[in-house]
Amino acid sequence: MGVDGSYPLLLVIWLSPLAGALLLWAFGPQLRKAGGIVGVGAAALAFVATLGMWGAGTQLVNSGGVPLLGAHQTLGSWMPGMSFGLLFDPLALIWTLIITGVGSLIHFYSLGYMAGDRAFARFFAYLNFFLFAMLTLVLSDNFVGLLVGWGLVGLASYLLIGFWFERPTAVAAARKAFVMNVVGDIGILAAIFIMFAYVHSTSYADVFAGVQSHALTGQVLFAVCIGLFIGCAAKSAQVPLHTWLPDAMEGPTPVSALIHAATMVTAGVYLIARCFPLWNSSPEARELAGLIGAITALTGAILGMGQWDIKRILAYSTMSQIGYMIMGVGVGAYSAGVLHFFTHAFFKAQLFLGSGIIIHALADEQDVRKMGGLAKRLPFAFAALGIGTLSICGVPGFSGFFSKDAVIYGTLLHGHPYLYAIGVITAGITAYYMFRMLFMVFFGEYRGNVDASDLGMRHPELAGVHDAGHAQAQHAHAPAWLMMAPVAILMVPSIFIGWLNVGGENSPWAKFIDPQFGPAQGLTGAPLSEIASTLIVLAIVAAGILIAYLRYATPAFISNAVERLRNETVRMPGVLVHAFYVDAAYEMLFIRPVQAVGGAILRWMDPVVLDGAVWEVAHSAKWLGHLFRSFQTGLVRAYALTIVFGAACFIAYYVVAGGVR
Amino acid sequence: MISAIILLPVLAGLLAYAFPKALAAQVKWFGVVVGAITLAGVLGAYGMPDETHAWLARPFVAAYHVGVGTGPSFWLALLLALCTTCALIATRSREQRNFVAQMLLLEGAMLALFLARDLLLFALAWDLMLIPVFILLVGSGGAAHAAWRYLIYNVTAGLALLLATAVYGIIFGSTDVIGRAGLPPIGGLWQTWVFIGFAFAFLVKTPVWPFHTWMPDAYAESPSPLAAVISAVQSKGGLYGFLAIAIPLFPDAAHAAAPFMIGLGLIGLVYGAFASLVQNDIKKIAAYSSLSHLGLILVALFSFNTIAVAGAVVYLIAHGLFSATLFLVMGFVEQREETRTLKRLGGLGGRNPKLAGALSIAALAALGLPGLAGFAGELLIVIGLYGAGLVWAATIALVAIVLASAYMLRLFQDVMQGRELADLPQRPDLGWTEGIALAPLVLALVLLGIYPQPLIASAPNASATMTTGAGAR
Repeated sequence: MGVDGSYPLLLVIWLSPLAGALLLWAFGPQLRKAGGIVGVGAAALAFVATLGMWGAGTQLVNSGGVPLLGAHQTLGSWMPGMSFGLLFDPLALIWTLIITGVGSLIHFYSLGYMAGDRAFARFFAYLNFFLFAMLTLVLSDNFVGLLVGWGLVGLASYLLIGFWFERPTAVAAARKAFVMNVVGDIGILAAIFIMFAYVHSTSYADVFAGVQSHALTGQVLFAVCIGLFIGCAAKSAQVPLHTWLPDAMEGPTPVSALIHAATMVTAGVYLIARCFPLWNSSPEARELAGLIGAITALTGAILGMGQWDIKRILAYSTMSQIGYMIMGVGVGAYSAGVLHFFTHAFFKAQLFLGSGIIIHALADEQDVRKMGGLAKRLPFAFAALGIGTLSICGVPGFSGFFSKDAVIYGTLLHGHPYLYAIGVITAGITAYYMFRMLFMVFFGEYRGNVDASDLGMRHPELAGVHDAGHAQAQHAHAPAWLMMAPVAILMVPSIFIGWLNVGGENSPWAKFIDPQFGPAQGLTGAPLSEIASTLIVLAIVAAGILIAYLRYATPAFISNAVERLRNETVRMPGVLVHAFYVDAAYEMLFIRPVQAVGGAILRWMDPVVLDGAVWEVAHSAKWLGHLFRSFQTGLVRAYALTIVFGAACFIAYYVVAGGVR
Repeated sequence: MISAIILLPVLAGLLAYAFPKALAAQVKWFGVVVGAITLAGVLGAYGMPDETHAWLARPFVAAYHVGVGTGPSFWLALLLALCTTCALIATRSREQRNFVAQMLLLEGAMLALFLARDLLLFALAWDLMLIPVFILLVGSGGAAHAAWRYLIYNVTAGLALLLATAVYGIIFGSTDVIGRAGLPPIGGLWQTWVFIGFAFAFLVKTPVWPFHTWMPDAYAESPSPLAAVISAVQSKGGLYGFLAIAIPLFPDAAHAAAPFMIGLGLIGLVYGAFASLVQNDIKKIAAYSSLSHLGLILVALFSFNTIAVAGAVVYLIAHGLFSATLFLVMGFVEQREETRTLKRLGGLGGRNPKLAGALSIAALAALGLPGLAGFAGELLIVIGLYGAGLVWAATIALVAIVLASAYMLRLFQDVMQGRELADLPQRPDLGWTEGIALAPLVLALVLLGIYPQPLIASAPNASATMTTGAGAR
């Protein structure tokens, strides 16, 4: 894998965000406004270095004749079988480009979005720290390094979800996200100790070689894959470890765009793509990942239909789209799954940043019921969300079309007709709930002045999560160019980047990434041609858009919007409002029992059973009663001195006795 | 030279009592200087040859034999010197003379414990190190019951240790045996009984479930700098005892007892975590989390797996560092807000960002965040446990990691985040002395998290330990 050596540029990519974070952490209060420049600069430097490294990597390939462009640098070793290094290959490059590239744009956007926040520098310190953690994750050449990155992105996510830590809801959301992600971390930890027992190493190269040589095979390999997949499920919000993601929208909107849409939540996709030799050799693992991915895609889409908060709609859509990606890489369509990550990073970042412009302009309003008719007032946001929606729905010509189509057809190619069906249905639901959002926000009349109770919102102050700590002027205003420029840049790849996949095996995308995954495995041949499949998907998507139009954009709806929305709010099914009651189940199954046991320990087990028994014995001894009397008469010091004196006598005796020898 | 390291804090401690009243406020800095010199001395004594003087000839051979070596003894002595120095910097006790003096005496006794190469010397140091803690606990007011409980449990344990040492000496003929390779183990039944004596003492001191009930009160009622030292270092006396004495000297008995020890460790691991999750006293949360973490180390030691034992050594030091940090920070919180009750605290982070930063790092290290020292230890321990075939132990350890993240975040968030309670006293953020007290501990946590190789390399080879008795050296 690549060429061993020393790569200063690689270190620049990896460490410049860390340097930025440390600088901001140490001197944040002094830097004030300049803190933003430091943060953006560190991210941009990493991006430029990535581009430089890409160029250098290509040259290496040409000169050395290695089939894969890449670079490998060793860093150090803890013990035999546990050494650390950086690996820069096409897969790592794709993630690095998104992390540093989209990351830089979102840093830049934050200059505008977070302007005026008390903790401006702290925000950029956390963002830079996130970049460092995420780069550690994707550049590591071994599973322990990956796990370090995995844990650190969890920390960054925790810090940024709970960024406005005065708000109890943000604090609770941050804790939930962290603990659920630790559940994923221990899955990977389990995978590491199992693989170490069989191949005595944690480096990717050794573990993959162990799969080749059948040192890691059968049930053991499946166990490793399950462990890794638990990690994927927690980080990438797959059912049933998904409930932290909607709550994570408590974080500032740029955070939602960067961490909880474009990069961190796709780490599960990265891990499966990175460990493709494991998945190739374990049919059970492929079934598991494909199925969970499909279920997640469908669940996210269903829940997306019942949301009112614009960020929660986008959060469920993220969950659903990552379900697609996991389904793709899970069944073995690695190239398609990774492509969907690549295009999704652009259009989802754009959707979130666009929604941030709306939230910003409406003084922190996030409820779509209180929006409406914003197409004229915020034409730029309309363009941003419009393009993003067309792309995510898979309308032909937009990026999402190419990648989603590839994933859906990939399931069929790899012999999973049921997953294919779920993928097609989910595409239709996606079109419905995304256009539902688009119509409610931008069409009809502005409803911001309508009384909340008229819209059926029972607790207006609790109706949605709000960027309430967001220190903004309380009147609507047009977004500053600081926030518009990154969104405008993102529009280009949101529309066009998917075209890289045009041309089948000779497309630029396939030429770039396919060598990484070797010859395709598990192909069964599809009962449908690709064109036919595409047409089916497009028909379903068109139906979804049509239903959304009929429900939310017809003149009849617009003239009667308030009453219709109130009716929908009141009649919203409980399973959607409570998201299938998963949180309630966790509360009953885990949290309550643990608290009950803990309470029993503190109230009964420790004081009565364990300590009580000891004191029963102690009190019955007479000399103890004596000790207590001397304590009660206040001679404690004297008594302590007696002990010291006794000890001194003891020493003296033995020193003398020793001298006798 | 090695004796000088032990004697320096002892003599300085006695000297501290001689400080005139007028200079009482400066005693702390005297203690800090002594602590720093001791720290430098320990560092300088790395790998130095042992120091031996004849001591007893009858009824068995005993020697005043101390050595630093390059193994766990060195690292624990270093941890002790570092924690004592940091704790003294953080000291704000009103009775500074007494406090500083006793802290230095405690350091001397514990240095003797970790550096002793003779069992009798070890047992003597064991009893001596109880006294300063008792005196300080009793003197800190309102803590008398905790002090007595501490003393009675630990003196009982100390008696068992002394008795076991004497029996061992009489049977084997010499107690100058710690870290000596190739000793033949004593025979059959006596090995079992002597092992039980040692193990009892070590279990109580660590403490391991169900001998832990003295611990939450003692840690909570101690002045924070003292709590930092006893939770970080004195608790390691028991585990070090297993590592360097009980396991290498009594291999057969240790093997026979392994399932029992692993069982106790695992119970403590889960029990402590559950208790931490609902406990409302912030210092007791840290105390119960210690019960949990130290239980894991006990399990690792009795897995007899080289990687797990290496992990145990890393985790011994890591736990010392984050435990000391936790207790020091909690002391700062307690001084500022005049309460330790979680329900009365909240939202302090808003006006105390530095204090919040310090607590968050200590909590993150305690919950095993990758990149900090605790993670390196936990990782190696679970790898080793699984490698030793203890699949269930490894699995329970994983569950405990999740619980740890829950209770440590609860601790941090309920103190520092959320809405600030209106009636809390308004005090300034972390001052520079407090910052200096924490900085070396935090730095060490980060450094050992990235670079634990020296600790891993210093761990005894478990299989060699089992067969030859080449213990911690």
